[in-house]
Amino acid sequence: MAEVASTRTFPAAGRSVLADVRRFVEREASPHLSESFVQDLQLAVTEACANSIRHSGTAEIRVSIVPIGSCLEITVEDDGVYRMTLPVIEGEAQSHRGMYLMAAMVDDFSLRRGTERRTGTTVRLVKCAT
Amino acid sequence: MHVELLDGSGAVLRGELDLLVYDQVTAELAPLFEATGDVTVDVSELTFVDSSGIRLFVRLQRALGQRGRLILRAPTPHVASVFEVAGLRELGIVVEPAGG
Repeated sequence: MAEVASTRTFPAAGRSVLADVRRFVEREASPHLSESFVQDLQLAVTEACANSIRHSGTAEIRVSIVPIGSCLEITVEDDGVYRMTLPVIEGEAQSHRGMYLMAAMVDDFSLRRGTERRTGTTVRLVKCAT
Repeated sequence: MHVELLDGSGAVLRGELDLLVYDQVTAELAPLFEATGDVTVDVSELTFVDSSGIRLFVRLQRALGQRGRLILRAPTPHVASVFEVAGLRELGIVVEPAGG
């Protein structure tokens, strides 16, 4: 029997939204992953959501979590446009550390960019118990 | 997120440091950017840090330049692992373990 995804929608604004996302991830992931792996996942999901808030122009972010075997698959979706700049253009202020951190915290990671013609970016993260 | 500025050369950070509190924390730590010696930030009660927090520490270290070092004291194991992945030591920031 297929596992059912747990999904929550968050506004892409407000001072506590990223903390709210982390509490959601903690609640859903804790039964499946160790504390340190849950913290890794919280960081990866925070980076994905922060990228949506900073760059995409979306009004809301949807976070879905579904167990797949010994892993969790987390999907972060927005309705905006993904704006990728080269680090040399963006400058050393950020230098894409968020993207590197996100990739480093999970076992698998993929990104489907929202464009002007087809808005909506989807980040897929997979974190496994072992 | 709570910032306690100890004097002109130190602070304590408590709570979760992410993009949405970055501006507040940067403003509260502003005096440290003008420090004339080492700056020590106690991060033992920092329970979460993301790339915005890393950015803040890198900016602070670069502002200090030759005047002093940035010392991040007693991170939790997870925060320490984020510092490690982000390469803060390679950028010249001192990460001082708990009890060290």
